Amino acid sequence: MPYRGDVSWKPRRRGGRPVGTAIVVLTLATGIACATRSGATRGEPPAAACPSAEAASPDQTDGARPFDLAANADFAGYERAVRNFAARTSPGQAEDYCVVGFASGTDWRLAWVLGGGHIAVWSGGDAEVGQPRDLDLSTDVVASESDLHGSTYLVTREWVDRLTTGCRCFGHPVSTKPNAGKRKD
Amino acid sequence: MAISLPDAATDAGAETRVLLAEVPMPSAAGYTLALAKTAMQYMDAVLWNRTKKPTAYGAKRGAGLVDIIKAPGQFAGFQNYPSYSASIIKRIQEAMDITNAAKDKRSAAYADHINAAIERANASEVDDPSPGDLTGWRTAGHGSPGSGFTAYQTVLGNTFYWVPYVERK
Repeated sequence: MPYRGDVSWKPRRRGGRPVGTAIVVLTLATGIACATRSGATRGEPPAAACPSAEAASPDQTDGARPFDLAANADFAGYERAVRNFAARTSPGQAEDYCVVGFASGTDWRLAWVLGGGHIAVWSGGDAEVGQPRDLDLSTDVVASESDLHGSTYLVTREWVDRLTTGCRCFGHPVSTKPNAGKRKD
Repeated sequence: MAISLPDAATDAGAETRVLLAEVPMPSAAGYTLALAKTAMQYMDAVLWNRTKKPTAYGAKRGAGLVDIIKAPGQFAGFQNYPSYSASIIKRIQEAMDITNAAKDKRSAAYADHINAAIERANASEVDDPSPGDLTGWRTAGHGSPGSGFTAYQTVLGNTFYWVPYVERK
């Protein structure tokens, strides 16, 4: 077992000084919809073209590819998981969510839920959406990698954009509108 | 006997809460206690290794473990510790409730998970198997924590990163 020093180096001093972090407030902080795959609607910038599955990873370096949530036993319950998340974070509000799964070989398999001003990770199974990561798009997005400073959770605007595109192209929409799925006769 | 967390005002108390916030709970797909313990081992190394060079991670020179945890933008929800995110408090409380509910069939798994976090937070040695110093983790797929970090391993949905070894001054 590698041991990197005497336990006495675990000091007890307190009193850190805040260091400024560039925070970017995204215009999409009120929600990210992926209900359509056809691109922009009137008055909005054109949506980015869909990448191939091989190039869709928001990280771009991990070789992750989208997978079909509905076809995976651990993730097939995504709709209920998203609705529970919405009820917890945006109670009583109508929101359009998008959920997309990515997997990197056998290393990891996760889903991301986008909407309501959040990007939240879902580990599948009975886990709650957002444990361990629930990003607030109004506070947790920085301009570039040089603004991360080792952060365990802040993300770059470019990463958000790639994930948003990936969800639009490979994800599933989940609407929490009260009348979603009901016919209007 | 009911399990309780270490005093929030101690290093072990702060670290236990970070571990419980950041390591997926037993309800997550693919969860095993062994993987959870490995993730906790690496997170413990990250936290303590950062005290060797705190200024690189948003804390001031000479910062202790709690200062490292409170450093702005570093650990979600812990910036104002011992006050921390309501959603994390709720999640940890739910885990504690399950643990201490003897009739809940999930109780044993949650007890093992929480005890593992407490044990790791109280460990007297840093157990860092990386080629250098583990100093970062990110949710898998979220990219690097910045320049100079090298990915080491992904465990339970968290990718751990190391930097070249730094001597403690």
